[in-house]
Amino acid sequence: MLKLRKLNQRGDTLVEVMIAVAVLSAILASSYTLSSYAARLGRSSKEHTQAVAYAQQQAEIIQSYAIRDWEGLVDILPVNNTDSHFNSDWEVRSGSLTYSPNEVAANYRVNAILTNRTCDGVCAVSNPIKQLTFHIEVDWISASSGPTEEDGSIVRDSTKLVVKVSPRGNE
Amino acid sequence: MKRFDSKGFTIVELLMAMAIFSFVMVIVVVAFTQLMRSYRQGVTSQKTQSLAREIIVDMTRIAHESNEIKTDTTGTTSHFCLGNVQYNYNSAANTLSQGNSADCTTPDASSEDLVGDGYQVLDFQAEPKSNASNTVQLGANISLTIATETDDLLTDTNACNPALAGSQFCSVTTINTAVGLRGE
Repeated sequence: MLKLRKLNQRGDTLVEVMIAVAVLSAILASSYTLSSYAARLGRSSKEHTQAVAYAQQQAEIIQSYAIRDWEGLVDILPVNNTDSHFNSDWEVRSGSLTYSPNEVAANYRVNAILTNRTCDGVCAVSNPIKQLTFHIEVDWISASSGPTEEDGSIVRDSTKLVVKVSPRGNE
Repeated sequence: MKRFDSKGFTIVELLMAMAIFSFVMVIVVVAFTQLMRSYRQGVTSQKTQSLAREIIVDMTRIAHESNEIKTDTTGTTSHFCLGNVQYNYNSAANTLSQGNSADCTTPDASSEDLVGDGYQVLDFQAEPKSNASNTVQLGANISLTIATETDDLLTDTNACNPALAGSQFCSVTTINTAVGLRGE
């Protein structure tokens, strides 16, 4: 025991210890931030992929409607261009969809909005519609931003897809 | 040796060095094992997903060439026909086959299984859809669930149980999509 004490050096000063602790905690804090950022990025990319899949599903429905029943599609569409005209099921409808588990999926909302009708001149019975343009918008409550809406940390994200359809045999 | 005046390590120092070394080694081994596990999990789910996507992409292509949808059921097998192509899902054997269709009932001799060994079809649903006046068939909503053939790793709700050993070899993937008819 006596021999051990003889070997003892002066040790580190308080300042040295504090600097070491500060450096260590800086490294730990930055690596934690990095990993949680990576996790959030991963979830966000998963949500985007899902949203694009919903948008493509809606585009497929509109395209098949245009090819199989163009007259029916043109007849059904409301005059008001700002409404959503489809839900993810195959029905034309007016009004915007709300977030609900019974819609496309929990937290996702799909709107297909007719933004343009193209005719030769002014659209009329003598000038039939040659092209319809839909903006498909998918927005969703991002789970990667915060757990609940009450936290105030909720972030809505959205993605868009444009679909143009023409009657068969029309350029 | 004594001339170099090297004092050597004490047994305590040696023990401490060995303890620290084995602590580091344990961390390295655990990290490496986890890495291999998540790599295998990634490979498994990638294979399952691309299998499911392959089937859906082909089904979409066939729908684009067809102009008619038929469905029927015989026993545990449900039939889904796009034009001349017939899909048969057997919910007892968890298999999905594709062949030629005559009247959309009994699978014909040309029917081939779409998923190979090691995979199973947990669910396949096809819901035909028509236009607003119900006069023209437009397409169908499709739901396809493919899983690895590891039933002991699945929970009651057909999800992988990550708590089980070997769960890296388990994967379940579901694709919900719409296919539209575009044939003349």
